[in-house]
Amino acid sequence: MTKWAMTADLGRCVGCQTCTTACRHTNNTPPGVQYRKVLDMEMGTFPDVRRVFVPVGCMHCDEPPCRDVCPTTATTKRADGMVMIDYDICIGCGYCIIACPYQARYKVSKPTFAFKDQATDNETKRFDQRLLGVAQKCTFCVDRVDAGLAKGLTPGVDPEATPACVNACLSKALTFGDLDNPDSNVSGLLRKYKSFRMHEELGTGPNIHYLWETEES
Amino acid sequence: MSDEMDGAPQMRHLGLAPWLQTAWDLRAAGNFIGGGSGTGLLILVSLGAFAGLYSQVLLVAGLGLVGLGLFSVFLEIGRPLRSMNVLLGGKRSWMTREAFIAAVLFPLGGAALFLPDLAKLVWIPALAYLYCQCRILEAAKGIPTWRSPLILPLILATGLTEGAGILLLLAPFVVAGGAPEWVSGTLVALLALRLFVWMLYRRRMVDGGAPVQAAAVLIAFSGPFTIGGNVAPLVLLVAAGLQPDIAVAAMAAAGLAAMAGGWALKITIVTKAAFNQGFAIKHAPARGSGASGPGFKPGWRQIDKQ
Amino acid sequence: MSPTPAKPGAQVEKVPTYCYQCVAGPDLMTVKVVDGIATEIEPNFKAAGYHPAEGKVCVKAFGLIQKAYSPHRITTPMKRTNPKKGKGEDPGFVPISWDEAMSTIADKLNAIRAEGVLDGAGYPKVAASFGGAGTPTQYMGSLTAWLAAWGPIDFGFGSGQGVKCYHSEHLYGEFWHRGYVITPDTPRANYIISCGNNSEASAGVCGVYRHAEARARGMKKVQVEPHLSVTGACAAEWLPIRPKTDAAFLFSLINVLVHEAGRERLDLPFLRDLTSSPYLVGPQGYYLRDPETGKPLIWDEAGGRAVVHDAKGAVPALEGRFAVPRAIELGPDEDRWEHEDVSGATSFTLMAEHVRGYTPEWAAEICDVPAERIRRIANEFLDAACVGQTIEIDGQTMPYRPVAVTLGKTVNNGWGGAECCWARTMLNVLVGSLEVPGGTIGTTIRINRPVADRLKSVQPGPDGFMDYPFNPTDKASWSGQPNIRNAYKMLVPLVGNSSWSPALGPTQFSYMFLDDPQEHMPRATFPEFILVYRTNPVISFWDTDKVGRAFERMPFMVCFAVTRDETNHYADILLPDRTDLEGMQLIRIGGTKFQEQYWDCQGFALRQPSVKPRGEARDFSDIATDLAHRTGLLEKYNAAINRGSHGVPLKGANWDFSLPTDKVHTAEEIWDASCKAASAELTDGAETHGLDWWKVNGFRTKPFSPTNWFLTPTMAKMGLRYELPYQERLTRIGRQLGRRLKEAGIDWWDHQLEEYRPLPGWHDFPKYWEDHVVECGGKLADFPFWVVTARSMQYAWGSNMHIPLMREVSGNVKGHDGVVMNPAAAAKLGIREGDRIEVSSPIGTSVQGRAVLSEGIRPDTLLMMSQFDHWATPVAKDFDVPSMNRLTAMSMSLTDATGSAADLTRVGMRKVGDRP
Repeated sequence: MTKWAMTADLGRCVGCQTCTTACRHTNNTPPGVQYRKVLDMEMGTFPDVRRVFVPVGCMHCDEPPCRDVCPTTATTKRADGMVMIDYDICIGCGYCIIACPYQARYKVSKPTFAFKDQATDNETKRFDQRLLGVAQKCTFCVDRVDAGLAKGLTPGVDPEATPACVNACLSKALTFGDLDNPDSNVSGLLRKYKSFRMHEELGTGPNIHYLWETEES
Repeated sequence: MSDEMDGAPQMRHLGLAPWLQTAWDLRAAGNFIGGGSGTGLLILVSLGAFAGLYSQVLLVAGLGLVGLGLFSVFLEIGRPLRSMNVLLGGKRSWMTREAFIAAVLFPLGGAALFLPDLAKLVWIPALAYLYCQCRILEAAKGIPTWRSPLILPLILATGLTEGAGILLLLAPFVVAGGAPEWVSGTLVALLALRLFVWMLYRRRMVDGGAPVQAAAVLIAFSGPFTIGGNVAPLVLLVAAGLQPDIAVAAMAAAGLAAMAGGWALKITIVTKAAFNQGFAIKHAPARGSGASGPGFKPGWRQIDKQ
Repeated sequence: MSPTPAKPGAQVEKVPTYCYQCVAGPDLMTVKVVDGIATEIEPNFKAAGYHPAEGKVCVKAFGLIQKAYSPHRITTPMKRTNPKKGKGEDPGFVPISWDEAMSTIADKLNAIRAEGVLDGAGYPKVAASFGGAGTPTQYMGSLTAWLAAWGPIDFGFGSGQGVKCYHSEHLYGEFWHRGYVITPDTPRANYIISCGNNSEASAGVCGVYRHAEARARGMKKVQVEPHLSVTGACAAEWLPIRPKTDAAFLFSLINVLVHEAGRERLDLPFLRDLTSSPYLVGPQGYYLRDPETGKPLIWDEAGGRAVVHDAKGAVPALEGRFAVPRAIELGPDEDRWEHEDVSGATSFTLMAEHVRGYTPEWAAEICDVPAERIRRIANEFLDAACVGQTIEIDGQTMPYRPVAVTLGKTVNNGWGGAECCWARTMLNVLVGSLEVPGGTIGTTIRINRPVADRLKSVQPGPDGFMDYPFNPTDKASWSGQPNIRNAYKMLVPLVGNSSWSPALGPTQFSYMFLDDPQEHMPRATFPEFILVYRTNPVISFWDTDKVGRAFERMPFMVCFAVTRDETNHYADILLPDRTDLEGMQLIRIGGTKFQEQYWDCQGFALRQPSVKPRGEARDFSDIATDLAHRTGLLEKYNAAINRGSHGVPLKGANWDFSLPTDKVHTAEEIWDASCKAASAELTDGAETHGLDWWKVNGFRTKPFSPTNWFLTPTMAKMGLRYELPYQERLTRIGRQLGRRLKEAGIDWWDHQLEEYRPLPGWHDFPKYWEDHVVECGGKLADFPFWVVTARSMQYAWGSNMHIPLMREVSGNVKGHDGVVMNPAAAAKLGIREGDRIEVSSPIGTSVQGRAVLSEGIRPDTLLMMSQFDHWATPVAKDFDVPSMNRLTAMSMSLTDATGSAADLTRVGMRKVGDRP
């Protein structure tokens, strides 16, 4: 079996938001809709302060609450773990947005553009009516992964088959790969590093693994 | 989202502490209000039928409330033309199940308008519908004040309380001889139950079950709700028992207060205390050979008792 | 499902090109073009094996599509119709034809040329202002050839140079070890002390990548700065130091190394053989020299006598005082002292005595940092230095010293900057980590030549040191008449006289002297013609109100414009700029470039149009050629291109693609010839691929050994020493400068002359800014805070604030929305998150913005990220975020000897409104 997952090395991430912009380009999301973004967390009290950059987005959960609540079956989970939305079925009830404990889902009801009312040439070219009034979120760049697999490429290794945020990541904090394959990059990293998952206690089984320290430490 | 970003620059730096969800507003609250009060009323009227209660107006009121609630939520969906897709998710979604049950409730309720005996069956889909509403909230894992298991008894109790309240409020006008005697007793019991569940729920949320801001909303709501929505109707009911000359008015007022309290509770829970989960890390990372650090859960009390 | 970007049947191309919006570039990227419309930026994955960061591309590059398609673009030439210039005046720009624009420009230039290119005061009548630390050159095509053909141009109207750059580091770094910009050898460094160096925000893709890799290896970084920057966030440890006291911190580290650690733990062979540590210093403070040869003396422990520094077989004594029978000292000008039986102390000994008082306890008071942490950091640094170890790179065995010290803006410029630079370099000298693998190394050079090869710039100079192209201060050759308005040649010996020097000099003087003429110097005049490209000094300089008032009075100003902005608001002619994705140019890549671009190959990359030019925007090279034609400079211009002033010489050993000089050539022709020459240069003439090949392939390189990253092996091979610790030569040059200025009657540079000292020491640098408050007529108590700034990776150098995507994603990073301050300090003033506050400066200016509370900043410090405060730039003018640039003074008293000032000031602050 294949189970796609991501690792985010918090020791590497610098919060530069290159993944955010790359995702915005690849998925052609409207202003403010960031399937991938990096949080800037400040903790502690002066002078004992830490600042941690935390990439977030859809966790493609094992037990996705968004899927469980969806009244239309627009949200589904593929055998390879990816949680998908069928924009042609979704009615935009917003229930999944509320069900997601990762705040990963968006709904945009009317066309919005970078320069307010004026759509630029690229925005006009790429405008997709299907996405209005329905839920949207990170797809793990499923099109890239599927097309890459069809060409015999390895997602997470070959850029053409890899999610755009991972390709763009300057610090190599983000890695994508097959959790079921012990030889995959993500499996290797999870052996080398201690990791946690966000809000794991909610039983969602999230599939972004945050690396925070090497196993030797 | 983009619309929100423009006007509120502070909101641009979202994403640490939980913030109030914006996907469901008063229209969604309307569904829980209409659905809860409507089914509560229908359940009591249906069970009352075994004791001889029958009122087409009350049935219509109950069904109407449920219908208004559904219409209200219909206004919120992004693709209303596809609304029938809501029936596709029965395998998992309590929202679909709610819709299915509505499809039983309305014909049955409608038929009961003409075949009074059927009124004795209406409580079954009505209770199921109310139960679906509880589960709809509970399944929203992203909203700590909703996903609490206590939301089930709370929404159930308040639905029935609201129903009893409405029954008490309307009965003088539509039922010959006014509300049957058991109604006020039932309301007393339901108010006590609702208040008890509310206290438990509130305590659980304040003790770390909900983000700090959500807990603050519940704390601020608790006083007025307890007094206005629960104690006041109880006092009025007692007063009605003691002073027969004001009994009708006092009971109607008690019913109104019990109903209004429930509505306020839902508006509060659905639109005001509906802070999302926010983000958290279990460990701060080691940077290079530096030391790792403790985790961080902004917007939550430090001791998480979940 | 995801949104499908390209409909079935669409024509999809991936156009290879580069982004060089900032000094940390170039990043190699591809632009995905669907049916002629650019849709996505991606890393150039084919560059993965060449580029130091796997061909990744910076966040800023992703803004380029919105930049190209922005509805706010200037798409035709325009002229001003309102003759009155002012912030409040509407320029009344109206579209004109290219012909009208170019004839207007050419008429002006031809009139100037007819009357002489210099004005009565001797200043060039034509000036040019380019920003972004040289990045405009990567976009201006062959305009460089026109600039070369024209003759004298005043490049000194800066856009922030001196205050927004690493000024002292540039000058001293290049002087001491050819390090115009200095970085760790990050791939090997294990311990980095960073005083405010914001590498994670300003060192670009390569900086981020290399430091992340180093962290994954276990590198430890100690970040020393008043606020917790993104770099501090990524460091193992944050030391919140009091602003402008870094020199004291660094001195105390030296003190621990020299006075607490055992001598044997230092790199004694390095100190003895590769530095001036053994040089004997006489009673006048100059080297004791051999009376016959004039060479500095050392004490030979083997022979027990003083010998010349390069005496064969001598074993130099590192420490001690020695009696020398006969010696001379050479002072400024002809000053000469002859000694008999004179005692000489080694430079090292003098340095050790000099730092004796700089204990961690002493520094703790000044820096507000615990002494035990200072001591621990010094010892960790020493432990990590691996003194004595070696490493093999490409078959060459070199010292391995994986420790580095880096400095950031405001630490390495303005008063105290020189001291920090010296102390940083000394820390590395003491453990031998200067210019060796793992250590502290220079990226590139800008003052010495040849600019493309640091190692070749190492040439023997006097006294066993490298040569350095000082602006001379001896009587015969000192430049008493400034060649441009900022007088860099006259006042700053270290800045040299390369093509970069005019824009490095005290660039604020170009503006200051217009209104405040200095005694005994020709009065600064307004240039009759000023050309502005890829810069916005009315936003990015210091005391920007003053800069605006200067531009208001520029008689004739031509600006290349992407959109309207605060500087081109004063222009007479706007020319539409072909943006990054529209123009064409071939640039050099690879080798070593700042900030952290260390390649193991070098070559060229092509920028080519991936977006059809908007409106009437013309290619820069076509504009330059047209200008050359209209100003009668075509032959000189073409000759300059043939020489390679646009990036690549067209003629080489066995190839010649020179263009006929008498003809007008299209941009395509120019770059086709350049591509062929570049191909030939990379293959020694074997291949001559033209533009078509480069359009498909994007870049090409040849190997460049990483051994070239390190200067020390070259120094050792040439028998040269680093001129440290003792600054004998600089002191002499400074004393001479003092005499020249005195002879000229100039006393306004006296304070700056004090920086010329043999051993830099601590002065109360923060007090310089406190005194400035009083100088401005203010009371210090009214200005209790420091305000500092920090670069934002999403914006730095990019002139990209009109791009909504950058605004959006920078919003995810704290500090982009207002003035960052400590919550405890805020509480004392009754300020809560989001409240409106006013920050005022002793120079009488003030700005307003929202309070952003952060525990990651000292209570005595405010932070204003980046450079906002726009009032004309579309999109940005609606940000309502203040900038410190209106608050910082342009002042002689805050200008140091290199001509720079630091990017901070004392300020007052008050709440003016509640959060809306």
